[in-house]
Parts: sequence; C-alpha cells; structure tokens
Amino acid sequence: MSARLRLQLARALVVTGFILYLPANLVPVMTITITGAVEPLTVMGGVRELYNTGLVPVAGIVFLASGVLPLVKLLVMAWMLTLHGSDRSRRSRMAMHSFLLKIGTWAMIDIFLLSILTAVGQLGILASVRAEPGALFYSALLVCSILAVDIYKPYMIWQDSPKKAQ
Amino acid sequence: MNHPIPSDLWLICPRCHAECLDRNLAKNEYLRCTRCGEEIKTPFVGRTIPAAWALSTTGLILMVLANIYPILSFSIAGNSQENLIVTGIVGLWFQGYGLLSVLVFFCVIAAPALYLVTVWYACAAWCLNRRWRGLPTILNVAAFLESWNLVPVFTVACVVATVKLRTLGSVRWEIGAFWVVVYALCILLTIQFFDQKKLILYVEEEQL
Repeated sequence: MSARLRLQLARALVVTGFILYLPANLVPVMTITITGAVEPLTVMGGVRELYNTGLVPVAGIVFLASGVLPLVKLLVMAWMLTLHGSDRSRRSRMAMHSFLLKIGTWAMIDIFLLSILTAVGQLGILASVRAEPGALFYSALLVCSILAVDIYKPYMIWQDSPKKAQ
Repeated sequence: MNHPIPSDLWLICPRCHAECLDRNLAKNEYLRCTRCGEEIKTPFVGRTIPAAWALSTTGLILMVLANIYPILSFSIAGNSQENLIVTGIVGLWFQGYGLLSVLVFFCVIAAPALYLVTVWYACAAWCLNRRWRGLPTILNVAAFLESWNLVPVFTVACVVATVKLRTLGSVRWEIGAFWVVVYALCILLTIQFFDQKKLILYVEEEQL
C-alpha cells in the first residue's frame, strides 16, 4: 500500500470515527432486565452506575478505557494527520504513535463486557442482557480508531509534503 | 542517494526508515536509530526466539483449555448460568448482532490463535534452520495480528463483569477464568519474546 493511500485511508477513518463518536455515546449499548426492571445503558451510563454503587476504581478504569481513550485516540490522530509533512513535533508524534499502538485496544473492554454479560444474562424473566444498536456504533468507532493508527505508519511522520520535497 | 560510504554499510531503521551507519558491535553494545531511537542492531538478536517458540506452543495448548472450560457462573433467585468465551459470541449472534459477534470472535478467539500459529511457524523455521514456505507472508500476518490479539483486554473485562454482576446477583469464578488469565499472560510474554527483527533479517539473508 502506498504512503499516499495510507494517509488518505487514515484521514477517512479518523473523520468516520468523529462522526460515530456521538451516536456511540448517546445510543444505549445494552439493556439489562433484572426481575422485570428494564434498564437501558449507554457507555457513560454504565460508568455512572458502577460509580453510584461505590465501585469507584472499576468505574475509573471503565471511564478511562471506554470513554476517554477513544476520544483521545481520535484527537491525537487528527493532530498527527494535520501536521503530516511538516517538521513540527516529529519526535513527539513518534512517541504519541507508539503510545496509541500500546494502549489503543483497551477501549474494547466495553464490547467484551457486553459479550460476557450477554453470556451469563440468559435467565429468562429473571435476568437478561440484550445488545442495543449503540454497541454497533461504538464497535465501529473502535475499529476505525484502531485501523487508523495501524495504517498510519511511523515512517510517514518523517516524510516531507510533496510541495516541500520539490 | 549518493553517499560517500558504500550503500551496504547503511542500515534502514524498520520503524522510521532513516538510514543509519552500520558498524561492528562490541559485547553488550546496541545500535539505535539516531532519529527515533529504535534498536536496529544488537549482538544478542535471536536469543529469545526459542523462548517464543516454547511460549507459542504453551499458548496453543492454553487456548484450548481457556475455550472449553466455563469462566463465570451467575446466579439469581436459585437459577444459575455459566459462560464460556464462545457463549457470549453465540448470544450476540442470536440477538441479531452478527457483526459484533464476529468482531468479538476475531479479537478473542481467531486473532490470538492465528497469531500463536504464525509465531510458532516462524520460530520453528528459525530454530530448526529450515527454509519453510511463505515465511515473509507469515511474518506480515503476525505483525498485523499483534494489535488484534485482545485476550488480555478480555481478561480485564471478565473482572469488570464480575464486579458488575455482584451488584445484581451472585457470581462465582470457574476454572476457565484461571486458564484465561494464564493464556493472556502467555500471549503477552510471546509478544515480548518474539524477535521479529531477527526473523526479518533471516528471511532477507536466506532470500526466502
């Protein structure tokens, strides 16, 4: 794959990620029904619920992994793509790229949580867990952000823009 | 590019593609890229490959154990439900979320298994000094799968799920949880020990 195509794909994925960010956070990702009580949960709703039940450290982990991380990834990638071809902050951009590669996939924690809850929540009217369309938006957002970081290779940070190269 | 130094004395950094001057290394000496700091040459290359081979073999065995034993059991009002890794995937599929189910299947079952198989194949070829087919492709596949290998993230999700389920009913860890944790650790160690740089050099030298 050529560097130009990689750049275009990375840009498209980041823009798509930003578009998906709002529905991923506003539309419920799952509905939990316990003895008849139906509770739709968004990503942040799940964090709030953990916090309210006194599970502050777990709420903190889920908040960082599911709420903050996808947005940070998109913002950092947008910053890197905006500066593509310029001399500015190249070392910082290299460091940020490594950081994103290392931590990027931790945002998947919410999708796996949904999968586990769906597995154990199959007790008929007593307890059931259903996935909701928000989970699709959220997983699409994560796939976009992971692929954007994967496709934009570190060597591209050191490439000069075509105008500058001439 | 015209260098005053012959081209075979230049090494290309695999990370940032900078050209770095090659030289013989003394014991305990490393050659790092002057631009990005990536280690591009070391006298100890390949030392960890037999360990990666052993770990990938162990990982493949653990993968079976982690997938056939239940991880958690959840009880509410006397009724209980156990889950395997695949139970959630099947559950999502039957709820009409096929794409989500495929994504979880890929990240927790398929990608880790394929990653371990590719690492096993590449390490075995190096350790046995064999010219096995498709080694460059195998290395590319392993590099791609590394970031989709999400068993450690799944393990943390199991802990979060337990905490959440405790607020709704009673939860008990099953033997599968132990295998999932050991499997995740094995995968993390395999990633650390798998020296792709040495294998890429091996492939280039042998022109495979």
